[in-house]
Amino acid sequence: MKKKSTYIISVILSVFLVFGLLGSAAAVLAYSFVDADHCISLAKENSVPSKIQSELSRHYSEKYNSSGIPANVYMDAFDESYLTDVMEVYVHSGFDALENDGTFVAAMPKNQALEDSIDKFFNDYADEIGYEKDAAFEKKLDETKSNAYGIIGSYSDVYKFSAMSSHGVLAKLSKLYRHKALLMTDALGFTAIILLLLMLVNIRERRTVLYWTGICSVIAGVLGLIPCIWLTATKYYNSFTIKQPQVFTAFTGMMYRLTALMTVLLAVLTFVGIVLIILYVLTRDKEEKPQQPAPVISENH
Amino acid sequence: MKDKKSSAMLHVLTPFIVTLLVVGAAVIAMITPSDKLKVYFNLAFMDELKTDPSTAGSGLVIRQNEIIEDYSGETSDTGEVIRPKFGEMYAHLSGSSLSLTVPVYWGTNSELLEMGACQSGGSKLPGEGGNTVISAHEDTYFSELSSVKPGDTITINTNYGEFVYTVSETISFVRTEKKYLQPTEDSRLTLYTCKKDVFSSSDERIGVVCTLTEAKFYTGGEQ
Repeated sequence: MKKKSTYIISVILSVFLVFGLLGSAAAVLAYSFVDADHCISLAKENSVPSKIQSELSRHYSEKYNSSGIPANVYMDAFDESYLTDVMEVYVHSGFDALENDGTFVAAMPKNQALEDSIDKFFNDYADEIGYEKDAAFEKKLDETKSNAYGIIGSYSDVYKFSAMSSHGVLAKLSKLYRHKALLMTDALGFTAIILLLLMLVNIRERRTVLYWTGICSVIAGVLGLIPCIWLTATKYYNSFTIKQPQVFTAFTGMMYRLTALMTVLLAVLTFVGIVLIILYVLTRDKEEKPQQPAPVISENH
Repeated sequence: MKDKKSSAMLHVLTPFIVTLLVVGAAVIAMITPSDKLKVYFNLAFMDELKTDPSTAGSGLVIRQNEIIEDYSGETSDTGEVIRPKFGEMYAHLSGSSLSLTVPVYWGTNSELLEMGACQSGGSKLPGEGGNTVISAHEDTYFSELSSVKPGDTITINTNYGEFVYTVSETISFVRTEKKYLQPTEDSRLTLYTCKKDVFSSSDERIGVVCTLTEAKFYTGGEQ
């Protein structure tokens, strides 16, 4: 770092390198972990399907006052595995939308037992009160089945893809998400280019690249670790507004998981940075070790 | 030696210089999007108490009150109402053809409907003039509403007065029809509940409209 101009250019490139490292870490994390399979496995890990079932049971019990249809007509017709399937359909559809143009379409899995249960209740009730099974009856029956699928779908959409789609959020996110591989490549490429430039600028003292890369890694790691640790320690995500248990658990579970992964990644980056700085110090010390004076050849032979 | 010292100093200071530059650049870059991001974050994470969903509830404070029913002091046919808070039980409702005395809460939500009848917060209090709109569940507090007929009386007791109404008509409407729930010039009481019928729409409502026949504001001073 003997020349002033080299130093200043190296400082400027270091600032870019810090941003490059942080961006690359985030891009790698998003590429590797923000996908349908991880969302589904995390939801299963946090028992989200059983929470969906409890909330549906509560909903149908409350609705009995106005609908007259007992909750067990619905709840006895399906189990947690059906709700898991519905949840998976919504998650896959959500990510399909993100990978395309943001248009969200979820095809509900059919449940014959549910339809049969509703049929049986309506027919038994109609027979009991002598109600004529006319076109109005059939229409009400179809509406009830359709509403049942709608409610189950809505409760199983734990990551709220349909709400995001209707508010236009999914379309905006898809513009970024469908290019996530390219974004990751760009971030890593940018970082590599900055590193190369650093090497070029410090070509006369190649060893100093260890120093610059080291401090950039430590700075990127520490600057990223501070908010990650704060978010985890203060349980910030628990202030999530939606308190429906299945949605709350799914969202906060995902956010805490991503934060934890980012924390690990940044801790590794910090460690790598410290190692590089130590290597620089060791090689520097080796180079600056005092040389044995060269023998002086006397002119007076 | 001097060179060595200043070189070491530079090596130590440089990370701080780079950090300051990075933070400065980040702050400048965030100036424009920060307001919008702040709004989104505040909307998404506004529960300052960070309550768990199992304990969250609705944040509603439900207040029970002792309602005066055997007032023997001086009364007047004009007076001031006492405005309750959301979730406060402020009245008792009884009727000549009702076997139940129904507690009436100010405000409407599913939690309050489990505890009694609810008055729409946008409607007028008894004695305030205008339309007093009260609803309850068909299978609990308003289970007898369908048997109330014109000529029956409904009494509302509050801690500021007693108000007697006479049923003038029975009504039925769909949930989206607001005709009977609108403000009115005359003092009236509108009671309604869901029409529980599997084959009809869950949007149907039945009820009664009553006209105010007697208002007794408590003016204080026992006789």
